Amino acid sequence: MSGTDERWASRIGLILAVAGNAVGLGNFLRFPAQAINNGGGAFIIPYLVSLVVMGIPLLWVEWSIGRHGGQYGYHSTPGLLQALGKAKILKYFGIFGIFTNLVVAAYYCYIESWTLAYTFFSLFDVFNGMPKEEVINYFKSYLGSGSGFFNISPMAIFFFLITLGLNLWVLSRGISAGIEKAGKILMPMLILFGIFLAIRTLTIDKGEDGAIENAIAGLNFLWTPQFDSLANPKVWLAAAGQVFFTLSVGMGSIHCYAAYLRKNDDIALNAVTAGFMNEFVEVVLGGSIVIPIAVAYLGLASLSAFSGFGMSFMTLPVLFEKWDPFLSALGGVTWFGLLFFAGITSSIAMGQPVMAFLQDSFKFTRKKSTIAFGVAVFLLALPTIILYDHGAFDEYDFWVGTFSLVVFALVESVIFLWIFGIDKAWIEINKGADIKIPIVFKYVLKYITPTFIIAVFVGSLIQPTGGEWSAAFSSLFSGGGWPLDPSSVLGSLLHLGETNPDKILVTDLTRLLLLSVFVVIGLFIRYAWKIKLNKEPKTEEA
Amino acid sequence: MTELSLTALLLSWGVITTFTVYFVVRAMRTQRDHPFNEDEE
Repeated sequence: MSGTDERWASRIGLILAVAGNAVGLGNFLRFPAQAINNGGGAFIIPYLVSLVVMGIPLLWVEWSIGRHGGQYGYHSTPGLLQALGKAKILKYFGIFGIFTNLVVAAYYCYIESWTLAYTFFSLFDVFNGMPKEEVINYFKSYLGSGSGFFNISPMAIFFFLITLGLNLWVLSRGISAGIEKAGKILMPMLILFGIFLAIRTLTIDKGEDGAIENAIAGLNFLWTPQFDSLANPKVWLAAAGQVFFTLSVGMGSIHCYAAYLRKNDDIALNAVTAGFMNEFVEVVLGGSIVIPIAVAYLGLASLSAFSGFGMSFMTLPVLFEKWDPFLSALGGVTWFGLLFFAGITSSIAMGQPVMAFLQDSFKFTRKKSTIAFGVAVFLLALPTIILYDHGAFDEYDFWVGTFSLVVFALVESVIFLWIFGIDKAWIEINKGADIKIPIVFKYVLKYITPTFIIAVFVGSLIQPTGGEWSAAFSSLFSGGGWPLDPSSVLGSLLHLGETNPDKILVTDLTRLLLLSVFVVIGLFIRYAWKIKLNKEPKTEEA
Repeated sequence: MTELSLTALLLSWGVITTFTVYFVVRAMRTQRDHPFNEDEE
């Protein structure tokens, strides 16, 4: 079946699928870390402001671009952007929407496979009686670390193939019978697992099963407001960045989902409903599991080196083991199961835009496009698996999973709000709307949303050492130059602070690979338009 | 928990949960009034 004929079967199915796309590992691992490091309870103020003036407006922009272009038979960003104007170059900005989804799917499926593997390990009580060091080594050995230049781990590859197979199976079933059904089953389960874990964790009392603190002390630490942090630009940038990444905007997957709507279907209410569902999972559930349990068993000092990912795979299995055998297995299965559900509902959303491009442009069947997507993901994932220790995985995440998203969000906002035009954009957003969006958002969309994205973009480009902006400006004006942080885009580009030649080589080769993929996608788009396999674009006046 | 952090937590959770429930209920009620993805003809 061609993707063009497909539609969502129900509104709740669509909302759960979009919410599932947004809810990912970051909701449980990244949000608490960001909150702790950026003002605790006060972090929520810039977070909510960013959500209202940048996050929700961007959701409306992406849903609108998708539904608008969907009426012309497009379901992926090259066509969806081309439908917004006459300039032939517009479709090439859509490269991002294919590139990001394809590459992120590759490394994201790999992390997702860890959560699947750890769900099974927990179920079979693999960590029973293991001391902490052994659990850490188990994780390293699972990744094939320390086995020479390459990370060779048959078990990691086995679980990756199973995970990829599950993704492809869902995608092969189509929009309604695959993606929508998966969202309807997995999202409620994720929320139930989250509620169970939050309740179990928050009721840990000092002295119980070796707890050295009440779990509530963790919540207290997380939510204690440090109001002076609100004057720090670093905190505002971190909040805007967190809102940006948690909503999965700037990827091209929301556009794709919205392209399967009819022209008068609501998008205003659907977008905010899915967005707030994601916020509920992040703020209410995400902050109530990892930090409270870590504080209960390891104390407040353990948070000084808080790392969401390491904590998840190397520390939590040990902490669950403190519960009785049944609860311990249940804790592990629900935690890693929850992460797996969060992961797979996001990764299938990355598959659909790529497959839709192949279906729309080259008349691929769903089966053929599923196979093509699977092969591409497998090949692109291989470097992240076998060169994990040398940073290939991190390069994918940095350039594609972080930087590209901001660039694309900025580009699409300019195209939709300024080139297509705010008046037509406002009509498009409000067409068929089931809620009345306050008129003030018309001006927020035109001026404030792009300004926030530019701030996130510039912030990531030239982030100063330690995020200390005032110190950086003082240094600049006193002739000391701009102290670039190694994690900034420019710092990373220049390999600041990196001395390992192997890592620099792998990093450069990975960048070359990513650039090649980007160019090849551009050539595919050119070819698709040239041979006119897809419909003649019916553009509107820009 | 201190009074301050409890206030921050309850306010944050309250705002997010209220909006989430409000929008979900509203989406479901609207769905009942005019079914989603209906043919225009």
